[in-house]
Amino acid sequence: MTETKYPAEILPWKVLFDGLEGQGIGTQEARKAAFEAFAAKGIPSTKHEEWKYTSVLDIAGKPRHIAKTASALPNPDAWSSLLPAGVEMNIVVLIDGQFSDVHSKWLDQSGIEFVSLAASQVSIGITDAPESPFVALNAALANHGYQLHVRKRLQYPIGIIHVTTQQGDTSLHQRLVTTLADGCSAHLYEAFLHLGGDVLLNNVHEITVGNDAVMHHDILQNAVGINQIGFTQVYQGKGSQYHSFVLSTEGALVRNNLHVRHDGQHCETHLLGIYLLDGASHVDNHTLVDHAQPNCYSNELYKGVLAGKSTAVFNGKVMVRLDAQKTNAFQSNRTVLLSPAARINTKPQLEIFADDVKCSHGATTGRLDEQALFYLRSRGLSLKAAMSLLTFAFAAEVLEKMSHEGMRNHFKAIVEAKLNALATQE
Amino acid sequence: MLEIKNLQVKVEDKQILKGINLSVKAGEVHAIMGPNGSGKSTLASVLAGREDYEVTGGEVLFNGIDLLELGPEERAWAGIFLAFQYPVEIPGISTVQFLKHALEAIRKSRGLEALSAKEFLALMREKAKLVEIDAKLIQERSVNEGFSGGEKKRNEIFQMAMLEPKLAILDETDSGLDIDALRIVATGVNKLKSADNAIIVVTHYQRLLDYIVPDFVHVLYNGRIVKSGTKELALELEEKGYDWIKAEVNEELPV
Repeated sequence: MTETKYPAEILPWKVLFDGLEGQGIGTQEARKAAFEAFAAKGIPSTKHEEWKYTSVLDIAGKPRHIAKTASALPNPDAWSSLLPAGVEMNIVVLIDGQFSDVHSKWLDQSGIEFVSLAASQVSIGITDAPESPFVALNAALANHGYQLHVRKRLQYPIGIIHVTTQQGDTSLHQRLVTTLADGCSAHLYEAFLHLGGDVLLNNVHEITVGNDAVMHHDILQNAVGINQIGFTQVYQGKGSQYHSFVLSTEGALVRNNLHVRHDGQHCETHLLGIYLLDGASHVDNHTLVDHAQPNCYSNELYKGVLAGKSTAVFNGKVMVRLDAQKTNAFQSNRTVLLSPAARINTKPQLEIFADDVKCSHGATTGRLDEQALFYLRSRGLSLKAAMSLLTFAFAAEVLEKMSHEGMRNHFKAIVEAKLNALATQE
Repeated sequence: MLEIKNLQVKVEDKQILKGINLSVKAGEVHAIMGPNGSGKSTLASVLAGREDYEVTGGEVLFNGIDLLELGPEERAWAGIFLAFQYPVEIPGISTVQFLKHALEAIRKSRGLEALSAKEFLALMREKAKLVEIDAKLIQERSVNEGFSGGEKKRNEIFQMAMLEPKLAILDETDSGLDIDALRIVATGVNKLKSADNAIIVVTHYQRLLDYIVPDFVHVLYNGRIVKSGTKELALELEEKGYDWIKAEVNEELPV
């Protein structure tokens, strides 16, 4: 029997893999290789440099079913609050990873191809990543996956609503491949609705932004109790722009890997993030901007407010390769801790091999300014109102960088509500 | 309106106020003068509710309420206003933005409805004119960020004008002001003066008192009010300095 060679925490995954009996996306050969790559890496312990502050043994080292299609379709009202009010958009609903024709809605599908990866001839993309064994696990187990191909400058954003409905210990391995053809533009919005039990969502999203193409990518992570490990790999063609924004306000354990590589000159990359947490939530943002080409620009700003016993991790790596002269790369991570038990581990990493570059990074962690709190209270603001106002002003710096007004207002309202809730607790 | 009885205050184990007695009635202007380090600013901060101070004795009644029991915001609702000696800079918030919340909270505590956006704007324009402050400064810029010394002090008086306190405490509002700014600030304060409210002016120098004329002048030295008088006392201090007061006090003290 082959099982004997796998360590105990890999065995449940082996059973799952065998149970698929060759079903899934990509070739069985590739899936098998991916599973072996996963097994060889194992579930990372906190001794692993990339997983030092995020312990996944509890959530990834136990048996989990593979999500099947939901038996009962959820009510669309359940995710209406996730949609930005007043923003007309194409809506793609994925229920337990599977495209729901009934709930999805295309305002204008011209220039958009949305097809199942199982049916398409497209390669499913990366099957392994040095930073995370979960990419290989995803490649081995993904049973649903879609390719989104954009061939024009889209008028409407595309909203992808990920709904999880499974009860019991479940794992869901979704894969998305997004491509923007040269000179095209798209605005992608993703949100998550968690209706089920103890789920582990293991997503991989590969994005190719063509030459001179512009992509906006906004992600809302406010699903209560979800365990979510996501890996996004972006490739940018020459003269392209990639703008991302990630707001995390809930989640038992959320790990976001966002990796961007410049494959041509004159690329622009803007990475924005806000994390506002309480309870025992844990959110880990790992980003990598790989300046592999000269004359590119990247700017990253992640800010967080932590209450209760929540914890966050920011690990931002900027790599400037030998050929990447005239690179401008900036990065900043700032966190406000509202409670003594909240914690942030922040690690900016700059690796610069070129000599004619402008790079900066900075990280600050602190409490709310006592002087400012007293000033506002002495004017009649309650402690709670003063805290909400100060934390909102802190987070607003990130929101103000979002160019889409409707989307910005949507996120602004969620941020405001969450900060009010945090101020009430502390 | 305000009754301070034997107030004693410590900061980090150091006794700063050693038994202050002061009575302020509606319609009065009191000046509290004294050399540096005499406890003037501590008194102002304690009245506004700053938390770094430890009250070790005495009491403060404000219209019959025990002020020391209240948090800073509750004191603001009751009608206390402190114009800060060093106004705080707050990035990302405009003065008008927080004043909206502040005014709403204060009106609510008095059983009044919040002003409509239009009413608020009209009030803001009227009061900005009163203290000759640029509307851009208070509407578009972050609170006190990059403001000149004079702009910061004017912003304090603008806030006072908006919130219409019963008791305003001006803590060294004249420090760092040139003569024009001083005149503007003082004119603003004088326009806000009425028979229903009272003002305590904390200052080191007499010059502000040329513009805001006090009914009473108190000299604070070494944590106590050692001399009280009328505005002539301020002039005397200006002429002779504080040394004669110090000498007088030290003579009286048992060695």
